[in-house]
Amino acid sequence: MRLFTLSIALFFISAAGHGQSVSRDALLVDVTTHAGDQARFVEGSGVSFFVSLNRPAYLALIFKNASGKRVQLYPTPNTPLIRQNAGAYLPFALSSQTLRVSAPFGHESLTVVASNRSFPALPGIVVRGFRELEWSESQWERWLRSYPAQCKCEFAVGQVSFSTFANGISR
Amino acid sequence: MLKTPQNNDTRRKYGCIARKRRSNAARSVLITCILGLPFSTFSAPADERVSNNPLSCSLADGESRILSPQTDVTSAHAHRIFERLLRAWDSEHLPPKLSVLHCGGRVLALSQTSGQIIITDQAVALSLGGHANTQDGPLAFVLAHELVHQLNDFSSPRPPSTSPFVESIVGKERERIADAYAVVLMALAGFDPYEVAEDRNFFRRWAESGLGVSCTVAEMAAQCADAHRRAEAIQRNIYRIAEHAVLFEFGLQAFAIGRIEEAISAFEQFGRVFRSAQASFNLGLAHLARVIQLDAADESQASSTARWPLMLPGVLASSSGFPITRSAAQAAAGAHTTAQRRLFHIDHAIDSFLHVIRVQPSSAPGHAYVIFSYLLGNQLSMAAGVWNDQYPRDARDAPLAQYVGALLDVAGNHTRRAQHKLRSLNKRLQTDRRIDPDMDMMRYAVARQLSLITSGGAAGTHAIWTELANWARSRGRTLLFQLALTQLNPGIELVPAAPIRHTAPWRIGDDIRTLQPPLEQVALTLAVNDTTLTLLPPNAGKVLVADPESRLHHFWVTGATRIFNGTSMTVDELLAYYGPPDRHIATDAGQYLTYTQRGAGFRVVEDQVTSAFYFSTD
Repeated sequence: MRLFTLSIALFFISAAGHGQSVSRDALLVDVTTHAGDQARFVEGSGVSFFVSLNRPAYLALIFKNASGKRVQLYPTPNTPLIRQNAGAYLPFALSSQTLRVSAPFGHESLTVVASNRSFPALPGIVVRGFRELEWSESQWERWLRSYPAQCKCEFAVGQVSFSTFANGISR
Repeated sequence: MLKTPQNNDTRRKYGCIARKRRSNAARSVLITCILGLPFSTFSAPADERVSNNPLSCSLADGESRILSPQTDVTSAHAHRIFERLLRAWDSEHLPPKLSVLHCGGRVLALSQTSGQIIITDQAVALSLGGHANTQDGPLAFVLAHELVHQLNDFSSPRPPSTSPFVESIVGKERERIADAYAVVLMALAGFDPYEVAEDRNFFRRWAESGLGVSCTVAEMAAQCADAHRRAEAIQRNIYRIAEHAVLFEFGLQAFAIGRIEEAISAFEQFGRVFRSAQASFNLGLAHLARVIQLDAADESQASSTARWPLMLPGVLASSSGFPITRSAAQAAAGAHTTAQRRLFHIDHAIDSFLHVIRVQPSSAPGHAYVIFSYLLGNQLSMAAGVWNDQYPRDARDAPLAQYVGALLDVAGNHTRRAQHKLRSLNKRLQTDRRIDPDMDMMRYAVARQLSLITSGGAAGTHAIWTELANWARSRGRTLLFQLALTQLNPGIELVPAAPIRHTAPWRIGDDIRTLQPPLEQVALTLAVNDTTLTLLPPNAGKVLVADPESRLHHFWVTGATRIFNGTSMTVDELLAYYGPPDRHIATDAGQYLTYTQRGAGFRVVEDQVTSAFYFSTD
């Protein structure tokens, strides 16, 4: 999946009082698509992500495409860091921020990391307004394991996987 | 949701009992029936063939055996089709049982007085045509034909005689009447009658199979010619019946779009010729939908006296869709006229549901919707009377009955009691193992009703929809999940609009006289208020409806490969691509998902998109 629209700005519409049913003991974050988990998207589909958060937190959203490349969708290099309000199924992509499915196709995922402290910039290069991470799979996993201890902060991870396929492909 | 007028719970229970009984004696019963030949067969040639050699297909000779749907693909396919047809089983009798038999190379389909329908694997294969992109229509026709024999020939008491319309086309001969009603049964169960009416090869294949040799053999010429003539005569008749039977499909599509007057006209016209519980039930739902439209459009005293609107699973489409169409004259007529129109539709809804009950006295949905009609008509005592005295006893534990009880409290403004019942039902539905569109619509209706009357304010409402979203997400019920997301995030577009992916051969508003290929003469007309719509003869899986100015008003295309450029699409893929529909209904003929802003809708059967329909967005 590639991003055609480069201006991904702030994305959460918060609603006070949301998320009361979620435990307040630990920071929890969850993400899914507008078609649920393990969805299948044909080429050209728009994709929206919905995030649930039990407490206000800073977020980073990392997309991994079918060829294994990771792109940080939020925050972008030019986006100010803002603590997001808590809520259930809050939309990430609004209609003006179109994420559309294109090649390469296959298994893809979006990971959301949440913390009570803002995240440092992850290592990578900026391509068309988004940071492409330079980490290998093992480096990424190491960061996920080690970051909470480094920052001495609350930390939570949520992920949704989905698959994409080309138009006209027999499934 | 347009539900089956039958009581699903009861039917399922009876089905289990019947299966148990039959499984004990299946083998011996089958042998007896085949030897005894007290049956009719699908095609006349096949009939003759069995008569000539009745012992040639017997379990006793070791050549034949029953093919289990669990282990045999052909049998499984036939059983799937059969189960779909049984949704339109319009009788108080237990539905018949299907057995798929391997019988050498025999092509047979039989209906027995014992309530057994038998089809051979070769007959299934012949009906499917052996092609990769096969259509289920011909096989559905064969099985429907045998089901009609069960309904008409073996039922006691027998249903009323056939309609004059059918007899004018096919005469009074038993096999031809079974052909005619098989087409109707197909339409009621959501199959496309034209798949068989237009398939000339299918009838030739049957004719040749009955002769037992290929018609390429010279000495068979005379017999083949005769068989082909008979096949063509059958096909012509079927075609004429199919022209009328598609009114039912048009009615469902109109309902799904929100053009309720068109739906009422189509169901009425269909029902005048083919009176059935399904037609009456859907007609009743359409009248109730009209009442709800009137209430939404007019905040006069005409509406219900209940404090809260009533959410009816069969009528509840999601928000938006087409608003009520009101002429200037209608608008000027004022509240008094609205009240009369409201009363008119409620009376007709009650009549329709009472007809369902006459045909199927134990129909829980029939009784439930009589009660709902009385509630919308502010006749609480009448509703309570039906509930207390007539509602089927053995269906009172079902979720539908629990919902009826809750709505009686809502209508009576016993809000606290209604909240308690709805919360209890909501919990129960989330532990209920039945995962199907009907149950999803019930879950949605309960959540809608509960969110309306909940005392917890915005947080309480939010908790209801979050809970439903979590449940639907965990069960992979995408439509229900999206509906819950829509409620949680009102006013936002869930998914960015994607370009139209399906192909539409024409544009709404086109002059039908200029369409290619040229269309045949008028098939039948449908009066909707003071407008006459014309249903044109089908063309390669497409059915067109024209307005009085010969402009294309509505059309539909059957067959997924015709819609998606040779590929197929599941309902989840459709929802992933287009997002939640504006309106949706669940019927015995399938689910209908409508995108009113795009002027397109889709019918989904068993999670696959099977047809698309197109309409004006004006």
